[in-house]
Amino acid sequence: MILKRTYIELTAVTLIALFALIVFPKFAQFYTIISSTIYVSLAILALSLAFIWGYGGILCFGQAAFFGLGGYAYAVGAWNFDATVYGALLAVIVPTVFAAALGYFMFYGRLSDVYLGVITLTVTLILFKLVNSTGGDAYAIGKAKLGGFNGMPGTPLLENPLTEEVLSPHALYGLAVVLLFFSYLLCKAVLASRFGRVVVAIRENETRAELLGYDARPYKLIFFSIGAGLAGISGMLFANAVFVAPTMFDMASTARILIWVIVGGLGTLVGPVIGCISLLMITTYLGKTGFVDPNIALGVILIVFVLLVPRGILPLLDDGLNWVLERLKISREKSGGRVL
Amino acid sequence: MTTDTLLETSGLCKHFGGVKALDQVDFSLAKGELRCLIGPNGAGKSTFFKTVTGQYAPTSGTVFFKGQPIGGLETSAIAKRGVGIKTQVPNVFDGLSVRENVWVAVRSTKDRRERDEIVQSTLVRMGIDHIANVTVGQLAHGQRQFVELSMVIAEDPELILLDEPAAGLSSEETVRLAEIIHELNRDHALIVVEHDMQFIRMIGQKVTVFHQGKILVEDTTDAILSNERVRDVYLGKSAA
Repeated sequence: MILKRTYIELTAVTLIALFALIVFPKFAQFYTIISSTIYVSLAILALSLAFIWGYGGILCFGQAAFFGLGGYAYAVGAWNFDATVYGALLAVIVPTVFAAALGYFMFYGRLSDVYLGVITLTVTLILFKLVNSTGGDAYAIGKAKLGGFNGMPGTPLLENPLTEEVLSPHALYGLAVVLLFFSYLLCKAVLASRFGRVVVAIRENETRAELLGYDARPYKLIFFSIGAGLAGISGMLFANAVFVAPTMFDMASTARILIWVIVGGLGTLVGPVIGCISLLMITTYLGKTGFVDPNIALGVILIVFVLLVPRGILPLLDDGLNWVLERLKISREKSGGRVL
Repeated sequence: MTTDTLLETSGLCKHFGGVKALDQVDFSLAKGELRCLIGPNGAGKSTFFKTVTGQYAPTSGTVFFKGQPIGGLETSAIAKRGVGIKTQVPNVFDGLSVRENVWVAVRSTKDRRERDEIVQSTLVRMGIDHIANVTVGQLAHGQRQFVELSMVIAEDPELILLDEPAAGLSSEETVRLAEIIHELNRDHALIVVEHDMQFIRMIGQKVTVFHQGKILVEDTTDAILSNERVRDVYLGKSAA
């Protein structure tokens, strides 16, 4: 049954990815493609927290830090190397290594969940302050000026490593969709592996896992670092689609990711992606119309979900589907096996 | 310590503030031995298990397992050396299925097929294969006890510690558990903490009585049950 569900989910996700990659760009307007690139980039960020929080039980308030580090690492690499693809690689490596170093002290220090949340939030805010105060020519890494409050405008955009041509908005959108799809597959593969199963077991009962001979610390550390790498990919795409600025590290960014995951459904991978994209669409629409402040709307949505739909959108849809299937089964049995 | 000794503690102490939960415990268990631990509540039995498994670091004293010191090591490191435990309150992965619980416990092989075979044979052996795909959080207490025991069996440690395994079991389940313990004792050493004297009679060969963090007496089951001091501190005058 579980296997069947996994196949259904994988098939559905693949079909949606193909639709987004091939069909959608054919009829979408130019502005929609650019907006969609941002949505898809941020969906990878939502996926990264869904992965480590939903499956590893690591409530991290620092995904925005890894997201920002990914963006800045890309920009620094893109300014300094001949090919921007090296910047893209740095965008994955820097957050992953940073998370491994931070995680080492947190997990090997056996910090409780509350302290882990406090420390990751504090680190994010320190980075926000730090990057904000890098205005002026003195703050540069090679050719890359960090730019303080203004960020790093004019960062070279990603190029096709074969043709050395800058990616068009359509190509960047396609890349974002492909990266989201492969990030999802990576998460699925990790969770299906022995390593992933042990991580889930540790989330369920760390003491029992330790009593069975699993040292929880390296498992959590590796899992946490994978999540940071995914957030870095998101930051790199965001840097190309929007900008590189200290706001990537700010409190609002941190809070938004948590809301996407809660609304989409903690404990699922697809749910937070849906939550992220739908909430971004709502807040963008509200921002354009000026009908109500998008942040207030986001807060209200969070409260409604926490109180009324605490498991999130996807589990709610899943329950609804199960209910319908159950009804159909009962109807079929009542009608003597005939399909209604 | 002889070459036959599997577990040995010497002057083992565990203090919580001014409370001496374990006080100079000298304990020895031979390879392949089955030992029962009894004692009133607060005697130090569970603390002894937690100290041996590394959940508590000893305040002082030593713990040797297969001749190697293990006192103060990480819980996972001690488990890897061959110490498995079924805790007093079922300590399982509630959100996972019965099969997944047992699957995680198998560390002896990395081969997926071999692992699946061990899981299946353990589930059948314990008579819980019919609930293999049920989430453990949905099971009754007795079934959860058997799930945890299955995990310990699948882990295949050299020393198995069972903390009140018969608690909350029906009389049929208790008899089945006694059979399983005898079966396990063919190739594992076991220490069983238990309050149920009927159950001790079913499985007991040698019994150690804990009292106020110390070992009060060690002897055969029959001798313990007729021991005046044991009656006074634990069983009461009318027991046995």
